[in-house]
Amino acid sequence: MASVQLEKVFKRFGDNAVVRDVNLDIEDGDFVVLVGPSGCGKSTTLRMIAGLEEISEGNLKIGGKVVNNLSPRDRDVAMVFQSYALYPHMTVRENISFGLKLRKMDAAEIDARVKNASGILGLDEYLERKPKALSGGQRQRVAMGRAIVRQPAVFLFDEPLSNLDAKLRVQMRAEIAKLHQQLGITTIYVTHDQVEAMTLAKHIVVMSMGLVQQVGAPLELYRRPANLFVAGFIGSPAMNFFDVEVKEEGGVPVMKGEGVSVRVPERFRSLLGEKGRKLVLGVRPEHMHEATEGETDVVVGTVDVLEPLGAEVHALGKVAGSDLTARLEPDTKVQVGDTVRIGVALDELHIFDRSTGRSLLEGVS
Amino acid sequence: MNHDNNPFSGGRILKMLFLAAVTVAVVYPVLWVVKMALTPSQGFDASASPLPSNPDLSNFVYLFKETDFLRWLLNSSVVSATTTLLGVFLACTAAYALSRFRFPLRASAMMMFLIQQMFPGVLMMVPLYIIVDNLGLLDQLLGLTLVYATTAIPFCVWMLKGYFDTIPRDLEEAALMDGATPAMIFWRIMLPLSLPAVAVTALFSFMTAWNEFILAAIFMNSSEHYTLPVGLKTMVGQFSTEWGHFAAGAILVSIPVVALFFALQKQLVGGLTAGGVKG
Amino acid sequence: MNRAATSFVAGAAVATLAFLTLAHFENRSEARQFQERRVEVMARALGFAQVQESLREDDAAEGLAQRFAEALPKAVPGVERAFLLKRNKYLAHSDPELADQRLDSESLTDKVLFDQGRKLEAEVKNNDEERERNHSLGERNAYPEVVVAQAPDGSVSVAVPVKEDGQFRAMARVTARPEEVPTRFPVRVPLFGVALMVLFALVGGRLKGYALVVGGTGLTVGLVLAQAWAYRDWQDEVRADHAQRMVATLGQLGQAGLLELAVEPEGAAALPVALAQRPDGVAAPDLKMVKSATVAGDVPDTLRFDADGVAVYYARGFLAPGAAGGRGLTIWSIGFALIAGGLFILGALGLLRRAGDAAVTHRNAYAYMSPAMVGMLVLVFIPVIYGISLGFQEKQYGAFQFVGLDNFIGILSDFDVSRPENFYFKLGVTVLWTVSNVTLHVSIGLFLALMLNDQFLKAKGIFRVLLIIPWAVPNYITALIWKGMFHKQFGAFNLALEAMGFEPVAWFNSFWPAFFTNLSTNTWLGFPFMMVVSLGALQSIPTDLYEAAIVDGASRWQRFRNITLPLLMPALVPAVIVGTVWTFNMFNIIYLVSGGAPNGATDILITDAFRWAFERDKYGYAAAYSTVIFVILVVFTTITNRITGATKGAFE
Repeated sequence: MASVQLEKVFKRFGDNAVVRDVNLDIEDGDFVVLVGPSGCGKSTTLRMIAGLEEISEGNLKIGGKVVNNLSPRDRDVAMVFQSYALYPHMTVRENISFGLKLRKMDAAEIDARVKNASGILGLDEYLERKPKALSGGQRQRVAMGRAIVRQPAVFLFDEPLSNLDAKLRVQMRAEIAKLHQQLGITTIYVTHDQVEAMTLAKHIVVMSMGLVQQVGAPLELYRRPANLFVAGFIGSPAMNFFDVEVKEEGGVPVMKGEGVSVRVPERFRSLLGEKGRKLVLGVRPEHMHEATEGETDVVVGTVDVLEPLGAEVHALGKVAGSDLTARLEPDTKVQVGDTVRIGVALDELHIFDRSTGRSLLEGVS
Repeated sequence: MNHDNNPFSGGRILKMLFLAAVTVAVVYPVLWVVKMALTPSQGFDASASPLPSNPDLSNFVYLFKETDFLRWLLNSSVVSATTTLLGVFLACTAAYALSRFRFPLRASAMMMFLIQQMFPGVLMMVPLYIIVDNLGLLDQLLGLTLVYATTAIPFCVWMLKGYFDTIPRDLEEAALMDGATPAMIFWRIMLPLSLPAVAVTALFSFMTAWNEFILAAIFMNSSEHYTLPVGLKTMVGQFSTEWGHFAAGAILVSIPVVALFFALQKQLVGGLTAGGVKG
Repeated sequence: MNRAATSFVAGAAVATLAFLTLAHFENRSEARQFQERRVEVMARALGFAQVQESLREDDAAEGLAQRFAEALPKAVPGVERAFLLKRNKYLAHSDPELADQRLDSESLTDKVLFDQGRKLEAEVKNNDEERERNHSLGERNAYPEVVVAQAPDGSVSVAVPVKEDGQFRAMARVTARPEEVPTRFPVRVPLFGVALMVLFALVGGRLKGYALVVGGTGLTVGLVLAQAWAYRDWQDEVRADHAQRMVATLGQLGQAGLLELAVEPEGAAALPVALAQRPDGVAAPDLKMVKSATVAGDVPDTLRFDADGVAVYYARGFLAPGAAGGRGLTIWSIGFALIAGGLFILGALGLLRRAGDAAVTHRNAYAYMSPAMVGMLVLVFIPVIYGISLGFQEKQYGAFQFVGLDNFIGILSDFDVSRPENFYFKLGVTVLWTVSNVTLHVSIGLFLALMLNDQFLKAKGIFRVLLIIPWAVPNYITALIWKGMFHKQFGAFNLALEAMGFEPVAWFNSFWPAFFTNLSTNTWLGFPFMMVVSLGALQSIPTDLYEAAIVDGASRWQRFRNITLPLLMPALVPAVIVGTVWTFNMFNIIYLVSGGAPNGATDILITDAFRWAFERDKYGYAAAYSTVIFVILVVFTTITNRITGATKGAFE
């Protein structure tokens, strides 16, 4: 087990930098999820940690030791691949024990470790089968087994669940979480699915365009996204964004935009600067409701689609030019085509500078 | 295509009759060879009957007792086996590099393998003769083997490269993570996974060496160094031919290739078109 | 030292080393050729004397020949054995081990000697016949009437025919041990070169840009050319020495009474005459360059030496076998100069360093590639380059001489298509051969595949296996069997024709029947490949396409035209390209079935190239021929590939 540090790490292909200036400090036993849209550099970052890609610039430390020039076999890391990458010509047992055999471990020890791993993963009956004869979930377990037996310092997962169907994914997610609790091995996990990230991670690293956008505990990212990207990426359905300007109305600063009029909550007033500043107002769908008669902090939009989910109804529509997604009560009377007034929870607002995209609420609890 | 599914419809009966006629016509020469091999006379017997009148094995006995046939068989086996081993090994490594690495001159190397296949053997023959002579390998099995192996390599490289391309890179990376060195990955992951393609490559190399006539005829001067094709050709003279002996030899020579060929022909077809023009 | 200077040193060093190695081998081969030439002169002298004597007096011939054979080894240093041989009879010999053998008895047991005699006899006969048939047959196109062999112990044997009235009478064979020839290469120039290189390496660092490139390249090229020059001069010295020994040999032959040579000073004028005549009476074109004292004055480029009291003036190329060395080396020298200059320019531009970096970065890749690449380089790449370069040379008296574009011009500028050896005639035959074969292969193969692609057809597996047999049988066996089937008396085809009441056909006596024998053989063994390819492609066409077409109301023909054919193409096109290249180069069938009969008319380009090399001994011409074939094929595949995009994606 070990800590992992990335210091000013770059990855360049020719003149094109796909990972830029990544700094991460992952503690021993942490579970870190790298999340971001495809092409954001998260997989490349993981592969650099694994040793499958060379690091163009910067330092990678595992257990405090710079390992930039060590080959994967000497880094003491194990990886689970998206495709599982099971050796088709070997049985499950051979697959799991391959890494140990290469390390010339003695047979009894290998046997014990395989037994232990297959016990944890429920693979006992399948040990003599070839991967072809296994279901997707079982293959996934074999891939994990192969990593576990090595008892590595760091586990790496590269989108391990994306080839599974939805139900199995939820189940495996729980198993991975359980596994981490049992073994306590430092784990770095890559996914593009923010739900996976939120449910699994101790810390999430949001990446976009090769840059780390924000690092933090899942709820921290949810509550205080540092910028528009993180705000839009974390949370489902995604946050609504409205272009607004601060105007004064009856002595109170109000954020005004087409179809939008929301007072600036008292505690934020000092942060917004001079009047007329161009801002983006962010409101999560779950912090919206049908406005009552006298409510003034509202957005006004039209409803195009209603998605009844049982426990709630998602109303999809438009506020002037911007998309609107609002979570409404299941018994709402709103119809498709209606113009509705949606009230927002003033305590849950997010305010961003329109030109930099940065949150103005950093540091506010 | 034919959606009528009665196997005994009029159209199908006609079709079967036609196919049967074609097949008989195609197989007839082969039957004659069998007949001549089993008939003690040495004339070319092309009478209509494909069955020998009073068959015996005297021609085969003659081959083994009176000629160097065993010697030629041994030579051909040695040459073919060595060619196969050498050709497959060299082709595997080269194909692996071409499939897995991106390096300067890669495209040129592939082009070279491609073009070599359309090079007239004769153009190679004169310089090869001189080079093999200078290497002191004329009239030696080793010289022939080297030449065969290199002629077989380009096809084998293209064929194997195409197959390696289909093996996911993830597997190698997984092995790398498991602690394998590049050599281990090659031997313990790539090769076992490519066995079908390697088998076809081996067959092709083997056939190249086993069936090749003209280079062997030119390079080999002494009867004890003849390979089977050259040896057999000595029985077909300018004016008279020992057809019985030749036919017996032809059958013995053909059996291993035909057998191997049928076992692997499906993969071979894919490989030939792929190796010739396509990756 | 900056990197440009370093690469200059490397470039020049590579060129120098390669140059010296080449010079060494060049010199050794020249020494060997000299030896062969000298022994040939002796062998011819032996035969000459024997024939002369036998013409005078029949009884005397045997004794005289024996005397010569015995005297020769004693008279001429280096000669070990000499004898005259007819079939398996010794007419005369000097071999003490054979002393108790009765001459004229059929006592020869050495098969190699016997074969040599037969070969010479056959070649004399062939040349006569060729000359009779084709009066334009020059010296260059004739079969060489000499057999040279080198034994493992280094001794050289030369056998020549002894002719009487143009008829082969016996074989004269002389074995001699090579003399030591001076091979020490003058080291002045290379030493000077090394000094220059070091100097430049020291100074080069201060030079900038173009000055460096121009200076370095010039210096490198100059250095290599200077080496070439030094080599030439030195080679002249060596040749002078060779010539001296040669004349000495001739003198000794004369003294032994084997060759009538005037060796006294006043006979000097007779020497060129004597030398210009080969002992067998055939003019020797390479010997008439000997200049006697009386004519030498007019020739500026000569060296003088004395042999046995004869002043001999030696012109460049005189008496040296083929006179190839100097010119051949100059071409190599220019090549090396270009390489060295190129290396230097590359180095100055930093490309060498980048290549070096690439070699380090991609060392794994190169490590995997290198075994195969070394094999390919030695046994494919070098032969190909060498083969192409042979196209610009021709073998004369055992050495290749640079003849420029002569071979290519000879091939391409001859438009007399009435002769079967003509290139355009051959090209026409080859195209006809290829097109008719491929058409037949594809149509028969596709037709059978369409019949077999019927899931309800019974026994189709059996048909399929039986129909593939022709492809599996080694094709030389097929060819030989089919040749038998076309036998005029016993062949299956004529038996069938006779059974049906037709006249038997002499298949190999005229063009079209002979062409038909090749075509039918190759069709028999060629259609299964196309059938299997088509069948595979047909089976991969999803049936729901046909179902959809039926629903759309397409007729059977429309379905074939609009679904089957277009979907077959991706598999069929590459197969046709491969098939075309194979057929174009299908050596075994033509060579073994019709054998080019009648008179080479059915030969295709590739078999003709083979004949030029191995039957007419015109290696250079054959190489040029092959190069032309190769260019045709490359152009063909490039064009078809471009059109069909068959290799697209393969380079990924």
